[in-house]
Amino acid sequence: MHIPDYFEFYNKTKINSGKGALENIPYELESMNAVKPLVITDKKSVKNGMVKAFIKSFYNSGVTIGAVYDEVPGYASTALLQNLSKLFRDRGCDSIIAIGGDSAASAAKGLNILVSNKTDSLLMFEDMTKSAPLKPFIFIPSSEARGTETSNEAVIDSRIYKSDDLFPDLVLIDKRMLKWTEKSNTASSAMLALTQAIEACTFSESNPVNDAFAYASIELVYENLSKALKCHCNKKEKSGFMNGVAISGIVYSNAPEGLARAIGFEMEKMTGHPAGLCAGLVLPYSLDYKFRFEKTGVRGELLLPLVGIENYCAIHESERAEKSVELLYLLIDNLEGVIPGRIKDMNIPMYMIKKIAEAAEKRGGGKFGKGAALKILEHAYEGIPFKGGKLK
Amino acid sequence: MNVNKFPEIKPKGKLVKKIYVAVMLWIVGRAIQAAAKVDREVKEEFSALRDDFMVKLWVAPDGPAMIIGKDKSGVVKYMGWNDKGKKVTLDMKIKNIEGAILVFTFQEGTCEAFCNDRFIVSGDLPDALIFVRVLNLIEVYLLPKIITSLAVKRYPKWSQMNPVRKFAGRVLIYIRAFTF
Repeated sequence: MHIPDYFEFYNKTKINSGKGALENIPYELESMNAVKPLVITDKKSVKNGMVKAFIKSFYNSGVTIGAVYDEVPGYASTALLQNLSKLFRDRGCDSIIAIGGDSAASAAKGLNILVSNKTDSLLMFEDMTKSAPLKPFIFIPSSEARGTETSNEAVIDSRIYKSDDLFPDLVLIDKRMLKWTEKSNTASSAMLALTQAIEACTFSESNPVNDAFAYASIELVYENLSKALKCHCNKKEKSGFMNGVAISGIVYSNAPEGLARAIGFEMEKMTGHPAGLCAGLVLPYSLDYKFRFEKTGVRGELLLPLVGIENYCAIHESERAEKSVELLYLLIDNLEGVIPGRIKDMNIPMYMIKKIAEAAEKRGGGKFGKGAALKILEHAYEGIPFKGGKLK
Repeated sequence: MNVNKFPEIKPKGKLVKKIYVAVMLWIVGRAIQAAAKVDREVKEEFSALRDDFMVKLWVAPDGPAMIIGKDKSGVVKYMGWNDKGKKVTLDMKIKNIEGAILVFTFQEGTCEAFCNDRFIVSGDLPDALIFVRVLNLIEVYLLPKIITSLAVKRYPKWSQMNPVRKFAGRVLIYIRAFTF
């Protein structure tokens, strides 16, 4: 294993997963000196019965729930934070629990900054060095979670707040909270998790600890995806899958953002399609581009979590990187019917592709190389791999 | 925003589960006291413990609980559930009532429950391990093999515990536990 001259890895998130995980919340709150949490969630989680199961897990605990705010929309906004902040202070809460997906987690992170600093404005906290220590924050993913929730980022009003303080203190994965969701949502979550984990291993400066987390994430997502999609009754696989998704957020937080992820999020902003789906469709093309033109970044070891140790050993060292890319192309082919096979099928006009490419390159601050995003997007748009190097 | 739309929630209790665990703790406590007199292996395990040994096995946040310890003459005794005025040397806390239910309905073995972090132990770790071994032996005596196999790591072989010792011990422990 290559050890770089210098690397950093930070993760303060504890993961509590499996049978009876929910019932541990009161104990975990107590260990963080908290007794009255504010719960933030959305209507879908209430409708699915998740909030009911969550409240039941507090029975016989002696902990009072400050309030369950269940009106989080699909995005976190300043207006929402003002409401939450009022509720938090009014009830004298001392901790935050978010249930659901990205919007609930982002709202919880934003609220945490506000209430911990006793302020009503987030503007001065783009640089979190000015922030007071944050309140305990627990995140419980639903089937809608996509791996950004466990990262050190919060997106509020399209503005990104990034700090290691924003990691959740605890992530609880319980099968009772992984209710039915549309297959496309699960596939989209998987795509974003894989993109985050795989791209973290494609930088020339490797980080051995982050690589270990990334491999675990890739393996958990890739191995459990088909069963998680096949039937809602495969609870164990869904739980394993969600562990992979949660770990991918930690991995992403310890590596620079990759091109596929940047394209995915810019595409989501411009077209409204889920970032996971967009990033996932671009990922194999992005790796293929790196492999064929930049001749760097795609490591052979990537194949290990995708195929397992036996098949990994059976493939020659020089062929492993190419095989990994092939497998990712194959994954998208296999998911056809659940997600579109190429960007063209998502009814995105070609003129937008140029805009998305420009925005993604701008987001990367020039680190991706000029023209790379457009070239990758053109191939992903038509669904033509880079073999031969030219668009047919 | 109307904050009254989002009321404070005071969760209920789980009385039936608490009663079940309390009864199980009482039975196990009495059985340990009896086994310390009847079974040679349990006696030896307890003799390795310090003279003021006292264990409290309980469920957070407010019980039920079971206290077992050695009295002044070194005899192992079940000392009820209240630790007031008692000096507990080993505190074994089950994090929540659901964890206790998993253990006492034998869905999860004691060792497995330890691995799954359902217990919080304060005190000497070797003492805790001895107590877990005693608990395993008690389960072998009290319950039929089909249930005990779920609760213990390895069910004792014939060479380790022959049927005569097992059945005679079972009868004696039951009689002593429920009579005096």
